[in-house]
Amino acid sequence: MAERAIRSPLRHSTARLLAAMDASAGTAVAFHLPSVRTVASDEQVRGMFFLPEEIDLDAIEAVAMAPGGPSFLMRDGHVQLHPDCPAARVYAPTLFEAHAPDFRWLEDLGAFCIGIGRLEQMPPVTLALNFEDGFARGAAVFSSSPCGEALDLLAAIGVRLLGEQPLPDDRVLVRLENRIAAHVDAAALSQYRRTMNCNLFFMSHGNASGEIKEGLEAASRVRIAAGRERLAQAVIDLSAEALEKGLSLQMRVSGALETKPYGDLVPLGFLGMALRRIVDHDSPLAEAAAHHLSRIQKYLQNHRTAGLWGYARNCIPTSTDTALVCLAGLLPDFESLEQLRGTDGGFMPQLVTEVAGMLSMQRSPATMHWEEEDLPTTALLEALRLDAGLGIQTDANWFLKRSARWCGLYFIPPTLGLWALARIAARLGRSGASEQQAADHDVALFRETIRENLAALRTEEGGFGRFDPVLQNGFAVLAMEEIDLLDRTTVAAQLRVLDGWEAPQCVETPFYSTVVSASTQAMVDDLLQNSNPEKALPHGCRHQVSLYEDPARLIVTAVAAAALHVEANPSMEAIFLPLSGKYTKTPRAGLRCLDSPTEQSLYHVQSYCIPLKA
Amino acid sequence: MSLEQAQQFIERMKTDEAFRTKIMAVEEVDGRLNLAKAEGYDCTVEEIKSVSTELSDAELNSVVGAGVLTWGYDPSYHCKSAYGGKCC
Repeated sequence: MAERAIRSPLRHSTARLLAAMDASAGTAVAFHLPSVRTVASDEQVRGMFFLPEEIDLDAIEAVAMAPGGPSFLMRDGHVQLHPDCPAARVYAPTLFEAHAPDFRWLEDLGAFCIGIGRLEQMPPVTLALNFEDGFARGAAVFSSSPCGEALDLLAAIGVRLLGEQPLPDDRVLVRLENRIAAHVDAAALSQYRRTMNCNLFFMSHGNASGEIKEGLEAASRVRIAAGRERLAQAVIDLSAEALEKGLSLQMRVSGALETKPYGDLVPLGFLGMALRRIVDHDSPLAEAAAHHLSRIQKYLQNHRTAGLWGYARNCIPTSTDTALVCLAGLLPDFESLEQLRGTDGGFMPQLVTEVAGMLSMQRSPATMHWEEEDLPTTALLEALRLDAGLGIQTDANWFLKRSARWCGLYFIPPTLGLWALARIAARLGRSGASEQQAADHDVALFRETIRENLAALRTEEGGFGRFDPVLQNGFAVLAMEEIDLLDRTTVAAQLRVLDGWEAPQCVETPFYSTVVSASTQAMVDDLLQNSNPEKALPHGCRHQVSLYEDPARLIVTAVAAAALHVEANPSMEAIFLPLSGKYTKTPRAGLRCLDSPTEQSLYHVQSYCIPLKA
Repeated sequence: MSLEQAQQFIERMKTDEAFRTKIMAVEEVDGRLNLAKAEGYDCTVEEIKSVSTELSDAELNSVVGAGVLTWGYDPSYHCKSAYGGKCC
């Protein structure tokens, strides 16, 4: 790394406070208090920094967790150190000066927080963070890479490790961010009992084991429990609003800036699913949830067509939408549904005829790829049949053979497809589920394939997928529940669900569809463009993607609530689903995790274009 | 180089899937046109654009004349099928 001139960190009040302490103070972490107060209540601030009521917070510029207790840099410039904290001396290095050389690597960081010091028999540590949009972002100089079994659980206190780079002196610069609202929430939920653990984690060079591990496990439990209650209330509120206002997903046609409301029935299926979770859980909100579940079920019953459901009111019924609506605890007309079963035993999404009818769409070359049996739809509906005590026409081997086409014609999050597969895998695994149930080893192999695919979707930071964190992690949690993976990995995904729901970074997109564009202009546009993220040319055909976004967070909230109602154990080591980077086996089913909903859609649809080629 | 070859190239791109796939497998536009030249279609970007505009105008007239609905529809008008696209 090239050295370069930097501005003096002493322009930060945090640095000036640490420069008022003698180096013998050893360890201190200073915060810019006005920034902290933008995301924390005064009560929370006093709890975190052990500040008595009589202290005027408005008068404080920076506060440091230092030897003996809190020390302050006041707004008027004078320093007020704790009596046990040694003050700077003339001709002796200050605490800040003892670590100042590390600011070669920390550049202009430190406006929000600077932590410096060392634990006994450990090398020194320097941490510096700035503050922006509710996040403290910066870096730490550690002697080695962060380690420890509980690193995945740092999300419980709002912390994410963003990467690292080696330094010339064999140390490591670790970049990180901390969502302060989550950090403060975690501290308040634990009654500020573990505030010092944060310092301990950094002063031990990012070692999340021992006492820190136990603290993170405890923080995970309380954050998820609190989040579960908040989400339960949000699901109840959204359910009422969705029915009263007719809330729906929004359709974004390929390349369009505007979206249009489209899709008001399927989200109710997901909200119903979440309400069922709340009803089944020992929650003070169970009664209210039962009331709203009943309303949703009645509404959906009133909007059936031929015993099935469409994506929205007045749409033709489809097997996919029926499967999703039935998540609310409804049953379809199974006889009617059998009309959609294809010759290979799976379910086609919808009826297609040469001339459009009330229950069928018109055949077209542009949607020829829709005329295929859909794997996750089949998985959901066969699971529904088993739940209803009916036999099924598929078995584990049937799903295994098709698992390369695992994700679905309409589902964007890969984990949504895997959850559908996990639902049927769980039911096939129950003894006597069907006369046609495959041998036990097929079921085991099917579950193993799902597990391996889930492992392949994990990112280095411990979550699932690279976009839409609530949906990707939420469905991953639900999938892991179905195949009995309820360890630290599941908890880490739950924490990402909660984080993504509390601090949304994007509008999440559960569904997509594509149509083949056969126009000359579209073809020429692709021909004359070096790169086009929407080009998707499976078998040489241009597919235009429509996305079905969830700005009202109907499905997002429902999936988040359902995921947080899963009981997983943060203390159980994640030996069955290690991080993808450490996973040495190649997943049996082909699968890639891409960077955006559009890219992921175009990847999924390639498996559904074989009739075009034929 | 000629407009005629550009027109023939586009027609083949529209009708011959294997040929289209082969051409589009090349990452860069220049490479695609070099491959087209090797296949006997010596044409420039400008010639392709010129010819495609004429073809597209003709297609549009045909579509409008036949009353065919286009993709990317307004669901409030025509929705009968799930997941967008085709109106019934």
